[in-house]
Amino acid sequence: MTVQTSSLRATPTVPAAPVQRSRRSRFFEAWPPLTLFALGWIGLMLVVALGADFLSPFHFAALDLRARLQPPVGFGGDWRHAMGTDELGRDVLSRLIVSIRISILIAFFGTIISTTLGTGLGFVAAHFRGKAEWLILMLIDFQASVPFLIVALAVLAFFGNSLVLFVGLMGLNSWERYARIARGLTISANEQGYAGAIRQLGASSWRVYGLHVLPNIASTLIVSMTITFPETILLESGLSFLGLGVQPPLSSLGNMVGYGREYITRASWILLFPSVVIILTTLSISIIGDWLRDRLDPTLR
Amino acid sequence: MIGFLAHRLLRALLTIFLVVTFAFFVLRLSGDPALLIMSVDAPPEAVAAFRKAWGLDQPIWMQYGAFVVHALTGELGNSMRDGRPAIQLVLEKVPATLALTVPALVLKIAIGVPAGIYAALRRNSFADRLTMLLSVAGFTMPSFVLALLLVLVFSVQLGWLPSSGIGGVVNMILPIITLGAAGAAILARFTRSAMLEVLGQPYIRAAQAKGLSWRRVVTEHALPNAAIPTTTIIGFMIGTLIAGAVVVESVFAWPGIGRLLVVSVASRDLAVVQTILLLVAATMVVSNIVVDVVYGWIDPRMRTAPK
Amino acid sequence: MSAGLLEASDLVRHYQVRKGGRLFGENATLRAVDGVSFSLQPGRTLGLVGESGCGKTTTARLVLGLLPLTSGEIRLEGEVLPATQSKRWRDLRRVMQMVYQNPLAALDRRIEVGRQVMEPLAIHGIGKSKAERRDRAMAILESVGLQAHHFIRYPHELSGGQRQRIVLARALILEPRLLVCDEPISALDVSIQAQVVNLLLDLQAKMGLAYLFISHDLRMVRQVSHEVAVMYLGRIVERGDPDRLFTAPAHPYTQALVSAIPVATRTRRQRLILKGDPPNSVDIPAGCAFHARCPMAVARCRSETPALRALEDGRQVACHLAAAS
Repeated sequence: MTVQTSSLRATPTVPAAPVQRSRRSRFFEAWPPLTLFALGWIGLMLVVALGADFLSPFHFAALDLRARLQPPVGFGGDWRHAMGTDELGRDVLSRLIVSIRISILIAFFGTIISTTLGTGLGFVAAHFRGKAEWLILMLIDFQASVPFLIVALAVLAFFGNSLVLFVGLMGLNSWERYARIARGLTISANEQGYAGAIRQLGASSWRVYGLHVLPNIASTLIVSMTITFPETILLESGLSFLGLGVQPPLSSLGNMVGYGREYITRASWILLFPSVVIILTTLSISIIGDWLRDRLDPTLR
Repeated sequence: MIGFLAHRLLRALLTIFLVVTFAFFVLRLSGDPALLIMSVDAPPEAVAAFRKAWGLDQPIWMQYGAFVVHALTGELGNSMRDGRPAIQLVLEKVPATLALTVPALVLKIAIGVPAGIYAALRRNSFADRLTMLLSVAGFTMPSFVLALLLVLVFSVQLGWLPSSGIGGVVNMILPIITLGAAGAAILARFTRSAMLEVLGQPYIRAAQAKGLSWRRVVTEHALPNAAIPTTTIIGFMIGTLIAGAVVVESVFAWPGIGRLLVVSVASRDLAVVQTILLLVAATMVVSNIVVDVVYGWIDPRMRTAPK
Repeated sequence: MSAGLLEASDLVRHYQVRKGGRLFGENATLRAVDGVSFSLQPGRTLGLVGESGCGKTTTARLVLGLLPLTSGEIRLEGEVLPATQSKRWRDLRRVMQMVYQNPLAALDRRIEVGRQVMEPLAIHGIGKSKAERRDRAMAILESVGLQAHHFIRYPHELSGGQRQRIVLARALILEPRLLVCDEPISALDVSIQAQVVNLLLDLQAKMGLAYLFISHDLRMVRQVSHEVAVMYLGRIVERGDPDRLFTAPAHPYTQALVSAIPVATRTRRQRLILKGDPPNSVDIPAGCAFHARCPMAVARCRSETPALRALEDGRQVACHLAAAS
């Protein structure tokens, strides 16, 4: 599910008064303020994720036992630890920056894996039809029939928990969405559409899928990625919150909240900052997704 | 309709079979359970005895066959931790979970559906935008964050409600609100877009054109048609009644299925995790079939659809 | 009979289907194409007509090798058509090409039409450089009646007739000898249809193309074809010279089709109205497939399937009652 921004636009049924619109209002029509904010926030998150090493004032695991549970600036704290410190005197801002990096990276790679896997399986199903398609449709049914959180929990516990495995697991989340999209669009393109026509010209499958089908369905896939990405962040942070995701000494937004929970009565800032980051990030991507959907793919609505 | 149902039933059985297979292979092949459970320095005889006791010395396909037969007869082994039958351990927790999820479902429907309908009928009004804003916040916010924010406000700051544990109805209020809020947000959005879709259809204009009052247009033409897609999402929510509270139960230390699952996963209790997985899949599959039947009942087109 | 460009002998394409679309329904055979033979000489046009669902399009796809045959044989310039997607099959695309009913669907909406016209050259490695391919694409655009400025347009920016010209250009750039046209004009505006048909005739004269021309528009088929075959439920029921076939149809089904052509004169013709819909290709009746709807059916039609046989004027007809006049 994504954010619906249609409610923020003018009603199409009411004809707009024929006023001369300024350049500025036309700019904000193409780039709504909410979208600009969302793009800005995601940009900031990317900068933080990429430059985490340069941005964090302290090492994320550095202890400062004399400055434990210090409140953030404005609540009795000082600028040395702008977002306060945790129970071991570790700088919350530094931990937050590192956690953002981990969470964004996991969600990013998870989404890429899920998109690639799902699209590939969708192509395979549409190309070979028959038994291969039947098998893939079964897997889609299976994936859709059990909440992924439960499957993920089971897998994680029994495979142990390395970061690589965890990322791979996140990549299994919602691949079926891409498989469905890719299969459906490819079948119609093959049967009475451009893909069948290109193949009839003698093109190889690589050319048909790589140069024609994939670019044609890319916008639909990208819009779907804006749904998967926040889902993956929520899934990762949920698992990490339960202590079953990213493991210490690494830190993600979810397990910052999880550890901060112990100090909710005395030092709520430890969990509030990562919580706000999670909400703003998922919200921003949903907003961008809606905006992209309107721009790229009017047929999706 | 019979063929349609037969088709659905077959698919349901296949799904269950896949889940059983998945449960077995993924969980069993992920490592030697004997070594996972026993401590590293356990004497080899003890490990061997453990393997024999759990049938782990058999070839893997024998184990699989035995597993399928047992799964179908409801025998899912004993909890490796406390030795009681896993199915008993799991079923014991069902009432506690339902005590949270059923009221939460009622809350979702009671808030989400009317809010969605209202928002759609007053499209672009302040109420519509507020509803949509709240609903966006409702599902971009992780449930554990919402839960902790509620605890922070109502338990820590105001001291009105307990922050966790069991006891009376007061212990259930925060978990139910947490569960209900996210679901209500999803339902409101879904209902709104279903209503908007229906209200844009030509038959609505036709009904208006023949002079029906707006009220009758909405109640007799729009609502029944918008109910069709909304049923799907409610059906899905019914399917998640058993396992929809994993995170929330953990936050509030509520002794239900979800918490049992997290604890079992953390302690690598194979039998219990498998049992919960199967139970969840079975619930989902059954609720899907029920949704299909309801669908066929409220949507005449489905009765004759070939697939 | 000299070896023609295309020899199709006894083409059969069956599908296994489930009756009633149910899971446990009994299996049945759908006879989409059930024993069709014809040959086509270079530079000639064979028109294939019939109602929708009679197997025209399936025949076209079989001829192109897009669908595997259940049985029968297709020879292209004496060579048995190789399996779909094989290397040789792909090479043969240079000999046979296709024009589609819906040109907008057959084009990639994201790519400039000129680049799409160039693409077959890239696929088959024709032309030394991109510039050369571009020049050839420009030349072919001109020969289908488009101008250089159309090169950089996108499909949705062109009219229906222009799009069909692009599809034609894309097929013709490979200099094929056979063009399969599947309802090439039925999606076009009536005012454009004649233009496209005239273009097809011009190109045939200029390039020596052979056409397999599939349509349900009898008048158009009569105008372009050197020979016409009428299909009913997967079989050819009558075949011959278009003028004779349309002025004096021998098969009752052809008579019905011809009598349905609207005419401008006020002379009253007797219209032959068929009873009922064509049976679907799963439940093809025994005997002559047409007997249930045929106004002149006799007992023999219900039991014995008529074979195609020659009439005196060289036409072939599959009907027990057609007089060998």
